[in-house]
Amino acid sequence: MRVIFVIAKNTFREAVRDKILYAIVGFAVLFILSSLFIAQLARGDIVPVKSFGLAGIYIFGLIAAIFLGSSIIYKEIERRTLYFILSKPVSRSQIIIGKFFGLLAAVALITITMTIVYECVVFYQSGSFDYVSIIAMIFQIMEEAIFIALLIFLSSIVAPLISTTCAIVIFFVGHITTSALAEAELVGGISYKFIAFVYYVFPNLDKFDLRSFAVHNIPVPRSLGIIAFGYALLYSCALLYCAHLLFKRREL
Amino acid sequence: MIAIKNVSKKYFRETVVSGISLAVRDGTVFGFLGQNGSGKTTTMKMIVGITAPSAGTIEIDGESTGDISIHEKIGYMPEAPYFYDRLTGIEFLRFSGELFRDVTQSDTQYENLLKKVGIYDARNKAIWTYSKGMKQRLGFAQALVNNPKYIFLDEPLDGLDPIGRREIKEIIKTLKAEGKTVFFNSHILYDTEELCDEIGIINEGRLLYHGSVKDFSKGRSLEENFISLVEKHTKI
Amino acid sequence: MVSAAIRLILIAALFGGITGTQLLYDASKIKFPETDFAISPKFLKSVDAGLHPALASYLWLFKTRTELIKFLFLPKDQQTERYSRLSKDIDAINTIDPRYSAPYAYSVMVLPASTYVDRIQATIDIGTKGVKQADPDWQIPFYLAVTYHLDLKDRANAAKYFDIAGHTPGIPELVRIFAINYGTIPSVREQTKQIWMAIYETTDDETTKERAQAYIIHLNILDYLEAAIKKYKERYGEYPIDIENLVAKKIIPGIPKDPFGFEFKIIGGEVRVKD
Repeated sequence: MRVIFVIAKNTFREAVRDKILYAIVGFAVLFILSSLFIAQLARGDIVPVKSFGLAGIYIFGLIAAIFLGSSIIYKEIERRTLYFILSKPVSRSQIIIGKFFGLLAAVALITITMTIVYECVVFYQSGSFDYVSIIAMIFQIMEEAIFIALLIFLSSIVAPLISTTCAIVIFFVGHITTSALAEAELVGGISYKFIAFVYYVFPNLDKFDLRSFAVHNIPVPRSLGIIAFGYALLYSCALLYCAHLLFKRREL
Repeated sequence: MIAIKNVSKKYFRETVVSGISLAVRDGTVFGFLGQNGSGKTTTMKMIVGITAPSAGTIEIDGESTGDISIHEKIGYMPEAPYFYDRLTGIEFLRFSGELFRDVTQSDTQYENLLKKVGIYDARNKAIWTYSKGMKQRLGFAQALVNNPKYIFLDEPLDGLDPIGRREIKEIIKTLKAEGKTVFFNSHILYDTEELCDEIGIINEGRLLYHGSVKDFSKGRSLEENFISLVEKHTKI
Repeated sequence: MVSAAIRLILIAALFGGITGTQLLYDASKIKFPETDFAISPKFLKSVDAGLHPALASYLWLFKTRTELIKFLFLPKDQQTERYSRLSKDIDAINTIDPRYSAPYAYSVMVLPASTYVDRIQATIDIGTKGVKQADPDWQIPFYLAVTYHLDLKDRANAAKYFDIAGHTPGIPELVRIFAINYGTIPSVREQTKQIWMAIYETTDDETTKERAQAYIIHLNILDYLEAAIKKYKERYGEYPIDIENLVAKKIIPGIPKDPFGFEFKIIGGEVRVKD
């Protein structure tokens, strides 16, 4: 545990000192602030302000996760920074888990920062805080955990460009499969079986989308929290375990 | 003692190290010499546990190198080391130290280590600002952070200016005087003569010689004997 | 020095050329053919990565709302064809985020003012859907009720939707009081006047505000003329034949100018608009 914490701390420190990350966060803050302009256009309707703000948090959170995570293991192998770590009493699984928590902490910090800016914008515009969006932020961090685990898994086997592309494709698949399955149910046959397979195997990200709840002030069902947390935990563990197995076999 | 018994390494179908057996006594400095691409780094990576041998066994202090606990006793400096560019020198040493169970060094002790290798003034600067020589020295420092019994150095003098080389050689001599075992790779032979008790010569993955420097040289220069040995065993 | 100056001139010339070309394009007013929503909204909803409210807001604020405003000013003969496209766009937004209330609210507010031949049915369709599925927004049932009252003379449905509006959170107090008490107001004209006053006080759409003001003035003129007719009857024991009689007998100083340009006649003591 101690070693995992040390690696996580180091990974977090490295991540938050990356200047490109500041550019991403800067753009994110600008995007969220620009929803004040949307408020003018919408004649004071808070719905577009919230929806654009939350969309910005989501998109830039994912961009940050992809930017940080797509090369994380690959870079360590290419630059041989892993060599000196592995010569120390550190196992490969500890490296994987430590990297995961370090990255997750960095991405969570970015998400929380953007959410604070968003809350200020909403408060300025409407005079009240959007409490449901704080729950939406927690759900987004759970989704980011799956995404980071996926990126660690991919980056332990392929180059950054390929892992970025795969991650983006899997991200869209994760959002499309619910409606695709509903459509395929009407068609049936092998198409349905194939889409059902994709639906259950690929990460299904709809359950983490609380943005509509936040925008329309709908209370969040308690059971959703338990299911989403369980799903995120299990899926992340599965991906990290597979990453560990691949990484263990990887010749350095 | 470092005991390497019949160790081989294959990457896919290519054998890069073949049937190496040697023993390094505690408290000695051992130089592992060879041309570029001869298998020195691969052998060292197997000893320190970065990669597993395809065949054979390696033991340090009677424990298999597959056991993570042995890593508490070893320090390793990779060739042309890359580190985490955005950390400072002192942060990096602290990180290295924290990976050990039994290391409870204070910042003063890390600073002393940086002084020892000659980069104390750059301790609070980000590593990306370091020159090649400074990174080499930092690599050496992190190899000593846990006060190891066995120290493995891959091309430790590479990239250093003459003063730097002298300083590092002095440190190696000090480590030997402290009873530590130093195993280093090099393709620069005159440093080896000065430092080593014993040498091993590897070429195309095979061990050509293992023994004392004096017995190998036999009145001629180490370099001359090395070249003729390697040429004799090199496949055309 | 010379080569640096040449480099500077070259860069300035290139950027000048770029700006000039853009100005030329703007001046040429090249129109790209307008197309329907080529992508099905269901497909859009499935690929928007869960950002349904943001996509719906974007499409409404940056596309469809502008199209709706332009539609209101189109000649009557172009409106039918344009409305078919517009209603698909509004449907698409409602499919992507059914709870987003702004498209319903704005549509029920402005559509009745258009000259589109099926505007009333369109308003009823959008309004009914909005009441059922959008976030609580008092403007949807309110303007739906206004349409039932003014255009369909359907007091029952008007009362129903005014009541819904009156109990919707966020409704301005003035409008809430009117909406809840709609059924108790004695005369239809008074109901109508209060509707227009509520609209005038609460809308920030300029066109709707002007329209409301015009109706309030029109209805006040009707009240004013009927009060004058009553006074004439009390004085002379019979109703005047026309409005000019009121002026001739100095009951009123002059015929007030109607904002819609209507002229008035008197039938059985009541004021009517002349055909």
